[in-house]
Amino acid sequence: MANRTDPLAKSIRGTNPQNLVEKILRSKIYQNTYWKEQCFGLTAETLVDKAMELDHLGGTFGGNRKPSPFICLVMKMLQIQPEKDIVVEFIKNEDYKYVRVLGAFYLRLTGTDIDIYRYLEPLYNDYRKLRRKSADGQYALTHVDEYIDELLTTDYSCDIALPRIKKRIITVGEVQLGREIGIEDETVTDTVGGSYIGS
Amino acid sequence: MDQSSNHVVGVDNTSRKKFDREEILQRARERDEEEADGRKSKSKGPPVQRKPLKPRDYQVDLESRLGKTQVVTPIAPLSQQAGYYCPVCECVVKDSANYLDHINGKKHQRALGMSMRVERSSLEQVQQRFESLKKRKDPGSFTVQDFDERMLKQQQEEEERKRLRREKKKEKKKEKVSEEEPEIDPDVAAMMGFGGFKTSKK
Repeated sequence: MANRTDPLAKSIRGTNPQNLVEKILRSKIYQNTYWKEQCFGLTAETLVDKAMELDHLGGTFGGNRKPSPFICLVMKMLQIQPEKDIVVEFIKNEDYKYVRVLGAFYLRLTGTDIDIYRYLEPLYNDYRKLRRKSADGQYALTHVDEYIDELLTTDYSCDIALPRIKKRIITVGEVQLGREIGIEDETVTDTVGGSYIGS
Repeated sequence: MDQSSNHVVGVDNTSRKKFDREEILQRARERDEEEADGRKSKSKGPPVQRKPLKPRDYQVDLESRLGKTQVVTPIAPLSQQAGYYCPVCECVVKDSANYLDHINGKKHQRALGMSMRVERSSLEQVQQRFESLKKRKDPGSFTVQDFDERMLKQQQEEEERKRLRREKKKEKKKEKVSEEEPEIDPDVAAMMGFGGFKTSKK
């Protein structure tokens, strides 16, 4: 029961949002102590606390493929399905890089192609360091922009298969995305409202 | 043979049951009364509105009794038996994983008066949370400004201390001087019969 998706959640890509995480990883998350102890009953509001406490990102690690707190929180977000504004708020916040990455990952899983490019590309300007726990339990150094690039260009990250998105160049043709990567920074949120047609 | 055995011989089963109006009415009245009573006792008012699910605000204590030895008797109260005791549901769960499952479970949450549904939080709430958490974090953080301020404070304190010390020294000196020069005129003192505590032989 505790692992049920929010009844008000919309299905994403025709299925329960939690199914975006593969079955094996999902059951590992459900069995995880961090999940049971810390992630129980979280709302989008209280999830912020937990996300601020993050100090590394990663998928699973160790011999028994223990899920990392990062991936548990991604799962939680899939479960409670916060509104898009909230996710954008996560991405836009400057102070907590792991909250930002968490929001970016969630948006990459659930957002539309245009949203993904629109909100994630400005993060190419963020050069802060990130700690990443690799499968053997060792930490590796990466950067926010590096990780965003991984999200936008690859189809597998943190032991989760990312949904396919269109290549950037195709999206540029369809919708007026900026022609250059990552130049639009603060203006992004203002233009989402559909002012493109008028201008 | 079967048919004949079903047919009971020797009993008058040809008489029809008469429609007795009084009896039927009586039965109807009784049934009405019964139903009325039943409705009163069975219905618990409107369906219970449970509070939305809330996260725990305390750390689950899983390890406090780790590595401890304890004598377990079957007659001991539940709370002292082996395993994790849940005071809300008055049950003992045998291991930590199951205990976590139990306290996250529907039965337990229902006992606490909560439904399993989480409240949906709005954008404003999230923004406020961000703000408040930033504010809370600020005092602990260490900025250059903070550092300068602290240095200035320390310097001021140091100066204050030095000044106090200097003043003390001055006072001491003054006292010494005043001791050496008693206020009473020596001649008068001599006249009165004493000339201070110094030796008068000189």
